[in-house]
Amino acid sequence: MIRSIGARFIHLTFVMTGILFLSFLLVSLAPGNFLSQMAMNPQVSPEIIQQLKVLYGLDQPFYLQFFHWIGALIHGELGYSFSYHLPVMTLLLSRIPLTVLLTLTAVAMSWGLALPLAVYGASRQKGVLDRILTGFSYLSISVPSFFLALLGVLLAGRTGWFPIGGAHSPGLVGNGGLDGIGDLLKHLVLPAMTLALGSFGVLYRLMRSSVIEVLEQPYFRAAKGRGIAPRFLRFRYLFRNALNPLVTLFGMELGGLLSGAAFVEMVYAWPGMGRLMLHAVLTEDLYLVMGGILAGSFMLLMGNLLADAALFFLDPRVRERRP
Amino acid sequence: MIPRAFCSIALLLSGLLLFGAGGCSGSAREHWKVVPRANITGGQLVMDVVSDPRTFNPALASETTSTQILGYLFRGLTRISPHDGSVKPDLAKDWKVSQGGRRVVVHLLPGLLWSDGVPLDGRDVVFSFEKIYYNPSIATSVRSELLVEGKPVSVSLRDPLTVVFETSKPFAPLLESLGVEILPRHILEPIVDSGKFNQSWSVRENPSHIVGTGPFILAKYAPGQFVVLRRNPLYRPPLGISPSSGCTMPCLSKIVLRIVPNDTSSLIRFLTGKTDLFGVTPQQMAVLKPEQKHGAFRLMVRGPSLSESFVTFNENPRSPIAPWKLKWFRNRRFREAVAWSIDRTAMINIVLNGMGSPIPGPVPIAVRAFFNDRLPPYGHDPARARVLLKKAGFSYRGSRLYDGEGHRVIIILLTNTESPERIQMAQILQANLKDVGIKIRIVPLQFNMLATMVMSSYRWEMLLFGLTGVLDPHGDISVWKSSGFLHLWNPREAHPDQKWEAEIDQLFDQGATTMDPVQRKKIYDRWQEIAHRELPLIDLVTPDQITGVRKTLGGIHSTPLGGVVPHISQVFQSGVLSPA
Amino acid sequence: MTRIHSLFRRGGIPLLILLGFFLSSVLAEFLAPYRYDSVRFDLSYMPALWPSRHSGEWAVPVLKLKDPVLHRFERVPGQWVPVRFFCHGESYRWMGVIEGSRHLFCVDSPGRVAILGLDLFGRDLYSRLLYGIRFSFLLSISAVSLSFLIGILAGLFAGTTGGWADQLVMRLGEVFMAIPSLYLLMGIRAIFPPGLSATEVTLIMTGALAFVGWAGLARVVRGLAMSLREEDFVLAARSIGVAPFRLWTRHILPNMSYYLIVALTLSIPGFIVGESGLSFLGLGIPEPHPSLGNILAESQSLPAMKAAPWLLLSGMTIVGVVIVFNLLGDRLRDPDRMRRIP
Repeated sequence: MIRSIGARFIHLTFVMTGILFLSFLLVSLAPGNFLSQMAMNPQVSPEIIQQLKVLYGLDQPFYLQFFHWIGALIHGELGYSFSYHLPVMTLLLSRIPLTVLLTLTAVAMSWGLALPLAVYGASRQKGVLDRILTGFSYLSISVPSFFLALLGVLLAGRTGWFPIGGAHSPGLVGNGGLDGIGDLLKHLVLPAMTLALGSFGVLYRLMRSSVIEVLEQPYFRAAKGRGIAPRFLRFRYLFRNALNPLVTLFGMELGGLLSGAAFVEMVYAWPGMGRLMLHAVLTEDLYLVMGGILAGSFMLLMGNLLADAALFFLDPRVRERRP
Repeated sequence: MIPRAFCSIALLLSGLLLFGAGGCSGSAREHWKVVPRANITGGQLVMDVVSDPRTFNPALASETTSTQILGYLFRGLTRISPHDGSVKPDLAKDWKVSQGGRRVVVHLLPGLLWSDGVPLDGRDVVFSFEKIYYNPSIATSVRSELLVEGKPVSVSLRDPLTVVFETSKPFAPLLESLGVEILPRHILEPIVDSGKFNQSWSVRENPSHIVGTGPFILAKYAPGQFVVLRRNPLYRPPLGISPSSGCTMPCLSKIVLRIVPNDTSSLIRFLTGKTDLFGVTPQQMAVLKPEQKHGAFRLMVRGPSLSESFVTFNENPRSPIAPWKLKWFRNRRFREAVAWSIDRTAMINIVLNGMGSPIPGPVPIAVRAFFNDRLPPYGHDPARARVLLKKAGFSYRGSRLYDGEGHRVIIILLTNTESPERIQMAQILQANLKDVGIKIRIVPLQFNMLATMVMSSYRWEMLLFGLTGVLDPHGDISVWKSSGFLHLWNPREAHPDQKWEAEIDQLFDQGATTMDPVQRKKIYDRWQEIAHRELPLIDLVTPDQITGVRKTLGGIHSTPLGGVVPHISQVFQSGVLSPA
Repeated sequence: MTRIHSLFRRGGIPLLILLGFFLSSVLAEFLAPYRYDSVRFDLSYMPALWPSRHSGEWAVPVLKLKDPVLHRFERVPGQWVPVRFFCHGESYRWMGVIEGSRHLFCVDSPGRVAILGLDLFGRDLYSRLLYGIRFSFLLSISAVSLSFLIGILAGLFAGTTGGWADQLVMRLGEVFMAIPSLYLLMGIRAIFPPGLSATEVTLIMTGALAFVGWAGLARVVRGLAMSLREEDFVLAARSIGVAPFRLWTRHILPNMSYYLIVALTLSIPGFIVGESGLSFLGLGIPEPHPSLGNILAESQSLPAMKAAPWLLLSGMTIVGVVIVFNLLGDRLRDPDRMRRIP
């Protein structure tokens, strides 16, 4: 076990280098660069653009840029953002906490609701609750999250129950007291709900079908027939066995914690990382994009690693590796 | 049987959700009325901006949010009057132009202070130009506007309050360029000397370190959320700007800019009374118009905007496109036929929601000082277009157009995906040109890809694009001079390859060195005539400028060139909203 | 024959509805009164206008634009245009092959019949939805099947072989998952010249989406396969020398079908909705070709919702499609029914 995890970490470094190299290649090969936006501005001459290019180091071949960047990375530097004239690390660190707050709340809400409800729904198939939830998940699957977010803003506008935009009211930033936290929560409710509603449907449907599959397995029927206590039965037999595909999904969900909420962040003007990255990608702010990819892929690889480990512990069949 | 009843419930629910959204869209529940404030000083103004500022350094700022915010914090020697586009003094008291326009002597207002209390004098001006804007190691894109024929203007100090600008040739737009922000020497000189200017005054800088001369100073910036500006008590207004109602300028004590990247969210925020000023797109009029009374705001329509849109053809003989296509595009009659086939009324009604005007030529209608009003815009006349095409050697087989060599007329039209309006205009154009037998294939591309194709590989046929109009025609020199880099249809020509191009080159040279305004108007009138006849750019439509203004604001006047705020220091808050 | 019969028995009503969707989109040329790109710039955002009885025959009044800002229309007094049935109208090529001009019903210009209303360019929403279902189905089903094929094969290979194969496939998958798909898609788009036809774009997109989307599924399949390969029945099959491919198709796949079917029914709407976002990259179904996704995208702003709420019907259609697909999925995976199949 320990050996395999150790090996996994070595692989991880390779995969990471591969990801970074390929992304750098793709970003560099994409037509234009950060300065292209000025290319069709009558007030900025090509000579100035050329000067800026040299200043930003964009005139060098891409492999040199890559090696410089990797060299700096080894020393813990992520380079400078072209548009903010700031270290990428500073920018990322300023956005990560609020994004993680938003996505974790959403994940907690959707998983926390969907999994138990799916177990319940599957064990009382075609009951009233199951039917309502099924109908609800159809909606959640088919309504795009962008649209849901728009509805949320409309709701906030009409009722005035929730503020629109930002994570704090201007007077309450940095207020660690009850007022500050209350204000933050008020801003958090709608975006988190939007995200959670968007993924609820998929989770509910997948978990429900998984649970139904287990319910019909001979071993489960046997266990039930033996008269094992329902509580124990539900957790020990049902939940654990049904969880296999969901565990893998959860690993991937962790990977999306940093960037998965970009559109919702846009509509609700939530000051998160997704928005920062979306802008960076659109303006080809090279090192900021690379910083985002670095952080994102680190989360993804960690998530996958965790998922594999969880699979290993949860599912005895995965563990026994018979020849 | 699985939930048959419940799919209908789901359908019903979705219907409610979707149509509920459609039905209730916009109408704000609260109705507002305005309660006048007893004391008009010390109000605040709340606006939304679409993105974060990228920097608080005026020399490095290049996108709109940063420049908008920095416009409140910094000033230049001159400013442009929003009423007629003329140059007015800002930090300058007055100036004298001599030696046929080659020398400008600027006198500064006496007693000016930076927001940290240090006096401002001519050394700051010289420093800003020589050590910052003309410094090749500083990443500023402002520099190109300050070069006269590629050479810097010489800036020297005569006495602490007098600065002399000298150029080798007379340069008419020089005074306008002097509007560039003046920066504090006492703070920035050590930073420039240590080579750290390109990272200075970033968005993480302590707000109190950013020192300017504008009516406001930076109070707080929360990334992704808001920027708060506070009144600058040491502010001294430019000559000719007087307080509107007895408050000391700036009348507002605070400006709050909320960063809201989505325009629908921004629209709802304005509707529900959360913001005071809102730039309205023509499409949003349908939502806002019925709500004016309850929302306690008015919609100020200020006539055609500065932005232009046009289509242009690739006339570049060095480009890798098919030779017969090049022949079509270089044919003036072909271009004229295209100009007559475009239904600009449909474009206005559909793309601009009925609020816009056709553009006759390269000078925006709003720029009255230079606009040539004798040129009629091209109308929608497909019959005339067909006649012109036949005259130009094209022929019809059925409804399809073929050229003299038997090639079917099929053209690829590029435009950028970032702008839905352009894609919509392209679709209307496609249908219009189909009527005269021309087949258009629309290819929307991301801006960067588009720019590469148009500017460096020349691998394009037809382009639908737009540029922001400029107040002085000289600003368009890179588009219209045949050697210009943005001379889209045939960039960077060694010699003008058509007679009319040579004439335009000459006109632009004359225009830059002529100081007499009447003479300049005549020169640029002639240019507009040639452009109107030769049609290298076929102009389309421009939207009306509309601003939503909450009735709690005072000091608001509609101006053709500067929005509804003639000068930010005059704006005051005359009332507060309260539920009606 | 019996197979088809049993499929219908298993599919039941959802299958019939789905076939109805298919059939009507296949017959779009005939059922729709207008082509998908037939514009009326003077009738932008005209609300639904149904035929009514006028001097003894079915006819529609002629409308003209009264207020372009608020999209108000008024009737032109005394002008009515009759509705004709099984008539010759706008010409088309059915499925791009057979030329024709026969429509179920038509109204001659300047009249315009609008069952569901018109869009921004004055195109008939009803006609566009019929065509849109065709394009959306075609694209999403082919893209989903291709990405499932790759994902399942990769996942099975990794999960049942284990060791180096597992490491290789999973690490490769991680690389694909970690690079933002936007860049991958942009990279793919950059390989092809601009100015492709709708068919070409659709084909490229199918490939591109599969290329980008296989990795996630491969991970889940691999997790399931790792668990299944230790089951007794797999060991038994293996010990009697069943070939690996047969092992996959007969023993492992059926036992994860419960997941795959649900995932499949969930992915299709995902592709239908997500497709419209790709047009930003010049990769979506290009205008003026309609798809459910791009019609919905047109309606996603407050001004559009206010001016033309009927465009949201594309959203309703998507909800309908999702429900039908999921019901079908439920019926197909329902083990009680499964067992009855020979």
